Amino acid sequence: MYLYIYDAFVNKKKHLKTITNIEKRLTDIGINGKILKLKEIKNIPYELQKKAETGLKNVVVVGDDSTVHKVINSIAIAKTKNINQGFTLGIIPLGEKNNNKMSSTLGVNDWEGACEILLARRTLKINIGQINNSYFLSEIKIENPNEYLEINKEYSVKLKRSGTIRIINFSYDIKTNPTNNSLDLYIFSKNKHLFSFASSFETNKSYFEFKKLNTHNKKAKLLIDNCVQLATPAHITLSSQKLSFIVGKNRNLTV
Amino acid sequence: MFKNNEAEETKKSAETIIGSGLKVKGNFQGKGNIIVEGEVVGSLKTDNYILIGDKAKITANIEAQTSRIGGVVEGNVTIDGHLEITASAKINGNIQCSSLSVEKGALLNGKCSMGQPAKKEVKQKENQGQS
Repeated sequence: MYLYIYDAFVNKKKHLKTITNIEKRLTDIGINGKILKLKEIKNIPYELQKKAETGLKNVVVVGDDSTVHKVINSIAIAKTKNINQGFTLGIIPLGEKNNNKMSSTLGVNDWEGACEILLARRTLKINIGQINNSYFLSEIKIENPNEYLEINKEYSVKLKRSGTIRIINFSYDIKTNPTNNSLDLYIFSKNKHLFSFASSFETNKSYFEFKKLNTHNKKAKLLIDNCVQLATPAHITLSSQKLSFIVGKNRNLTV
Repeated sequence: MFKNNEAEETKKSAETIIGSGLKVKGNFQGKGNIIVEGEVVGSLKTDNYILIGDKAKITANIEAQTSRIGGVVEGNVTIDGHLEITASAKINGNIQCSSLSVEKGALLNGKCSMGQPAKKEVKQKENQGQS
């Protein structure tokens, strides 16, 4: 049984034709199901509980990165309340390509391909990360010159120069393994060259694996899953939960 | 100086890379290869290979299976296997390893003991003796 969760923006006029085509295609291949509209749901975990009681196994998100982020959080919260342990998640991307980085990393590039991928039902159990009291699936970005990080409560890392910090479970531009029970920390700091003026900076990469991380700077902003902003300080951990995803063959992962 | 291809290969297989723009403080313990181009204060341990780059500054005791040191190290270096010290290295501390190569120009202030059983083997023998 499939449940399709539509984001509110899906109702916009420019998406109506695509939605009609998606629904037609899903019916043709025999995986159509009930539809829930995010706009009309007040309590997603409660709705999922109701559906789980009727034998729901597959939840398909129709929308973009922000839709996936919202649904992931609801399912993770539902799991902590032991509502259901067995949902498998699928994604049908809709909207701008730049806002669908998570689905494309999982090998789902457009709605037509997504329907075939749902039908093939190739699944992968993926780690999820936790930041304070919410969850993230893909990555967290911090742009800050003076960030100070505490890792696994064993050592601290301080940036001596400005740079970008990326905490990655999986990413569209860096291949990782989101099933290996750790998160990846990439720090891209800038190297100053004494004798060059034009392109006077070159990026310098650092890399760590970790399970627990604290940020200590109070002024930095975090961008979570390419869609949600949060202010530091933050406590970031690998969640004990894993979620099962329907993924495409051409995913940008090492698994 | 490290050969480019070799350095790239090590980077690809590294579990941890501490770049030149970073300062790491505390007890750093890994299982895979570690590359240090930045600054480390505390202790640095791995069951595998450690590469200390030319511009790295380490104020820590180092323990590893094998290592190549090209930067500044203030602390003791304990290597189970081979230790390679390159021309740019400055080490103030004692060295213990099974085999050693030192490039001309390297600076070494401290005791050097070689040919002794590596630390792990000594521990294993001690454990066997107890049981």
